[in-house]
Amino acid sequence: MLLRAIKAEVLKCCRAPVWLAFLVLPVFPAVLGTFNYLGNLEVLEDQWYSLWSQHTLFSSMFFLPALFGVFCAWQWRLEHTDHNWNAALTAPVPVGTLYLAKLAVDAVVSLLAMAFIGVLFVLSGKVAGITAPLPPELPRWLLFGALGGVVVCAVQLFFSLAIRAFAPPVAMALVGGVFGLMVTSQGWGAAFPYSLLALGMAANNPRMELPLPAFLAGCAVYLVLAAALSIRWLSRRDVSTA
Amino acid sequence: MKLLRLEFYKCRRRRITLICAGILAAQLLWFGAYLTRQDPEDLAQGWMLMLYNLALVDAILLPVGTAAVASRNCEIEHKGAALKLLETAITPGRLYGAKLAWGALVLLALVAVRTILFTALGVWMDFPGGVPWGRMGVFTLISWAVSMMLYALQQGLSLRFANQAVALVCGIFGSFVGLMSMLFPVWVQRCAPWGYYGLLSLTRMNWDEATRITDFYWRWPEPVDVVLLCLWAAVFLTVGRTLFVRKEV
Repeated sequence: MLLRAIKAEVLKCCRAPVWLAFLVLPVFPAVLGTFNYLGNLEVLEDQWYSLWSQHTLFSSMFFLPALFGVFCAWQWRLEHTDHNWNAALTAPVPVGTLYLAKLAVDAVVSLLAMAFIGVLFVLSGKVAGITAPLPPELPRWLLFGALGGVVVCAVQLFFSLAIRAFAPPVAMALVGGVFGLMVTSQGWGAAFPYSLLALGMAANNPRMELPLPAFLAGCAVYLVLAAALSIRWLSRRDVSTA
Repeated sequence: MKLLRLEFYKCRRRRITLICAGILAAQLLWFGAYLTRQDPEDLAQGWMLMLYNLALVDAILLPVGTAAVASRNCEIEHKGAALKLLETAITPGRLYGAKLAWGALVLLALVAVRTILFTALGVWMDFPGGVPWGRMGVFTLISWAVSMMLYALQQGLSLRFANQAVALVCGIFGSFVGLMSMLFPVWVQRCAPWGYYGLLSLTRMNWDEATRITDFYWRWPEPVDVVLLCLWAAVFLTVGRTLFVRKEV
């Protein structure tokens, strides 16, 4: 059932230009980050690690959570418009499956976004003339970054389900990112969903050892909590198709 | 005036106040967290520190903030094909003007409340030198003018595309470019409309690499930057209005 629901979600995404945002927007942090790296070589001496912080610091805090927010708002917008809730909730598909199918698509989008960010990072490093070997931590940064991205999506899916408008959940994602920056600077990054993305990507300090148990526990707690709240909302609330 | 009043009626339950309150709360949180990390001697330049940080946080939050406000006001017209009915009563140009005036008043209220809140914070923190009323006023005007220029862009996008993802992705992109442009030379900032919060900022920072001491100083915006801001606003207004007026509903 879940697989068929995922297939339906993928079908909804077909020909929708929303993927363009994930393809075009990460190019800008890469280009601007590389220029900034090249302009400050006397301070940024740690080659790949310095370049990674320039690529990811601002984007993981402000830009990626809001971008995931747009994608999640767009996913529920399909159901909020044109009386689609009637069709979605009368189909013989449990509401939990409906939510999980959307989250599974988010997970794939998060993984693809991280893979693209990784490709841009390597290309930028080559263009910037970094000769050192690639940092062995790169797959870990990307993988845990993708996991943090899934947590942000899970929370945003709940907000976009509850708020039947496009803009407020996206604004909340941005404010969450700003708040996440403060929480991370206090050392409580694993306790706040919007910090998990930057923490997983080691954006603040690429040399940092990720507090893995706390990070994974934070991801698990927020994933379960957001999924439980969303499924409860879907099963208890009457739909409004106006 | 009647059209403008109608815009306020249309938005009365659209929680615009909540969005504005969220932006203000994020700004207060940002600056509050920043203040907690400062030593008493850093606060000797408290007012300059405040305006420098506000320009930075404006560049991050207001592009998406204006996108969200414009989107909330414009998406109601896409629902139920409201434009079809509206344009039988008024010209699209007047509707565009009413929406822009509504946005101008909302943003003016937002930046005015922000200035009052932060001035009160500065007085409460006892920043030395007394309140620089003139500079606070000019800073409010600059924040409003740059936000209005971006609002013209966002309103054009939100009215042109029924899918608000387009306008909001533009806002997110703007937030990022606005922040990053501060790290680049002035000519780069001038090319990015979202970079004008930093470009027109009333304070600049000197960082002495040897002593690791940060020093702020007052400045006035370059006249050429003000002219460029007006040019950007004129372009966004003209293109946005033309696209809306010519749109088949």
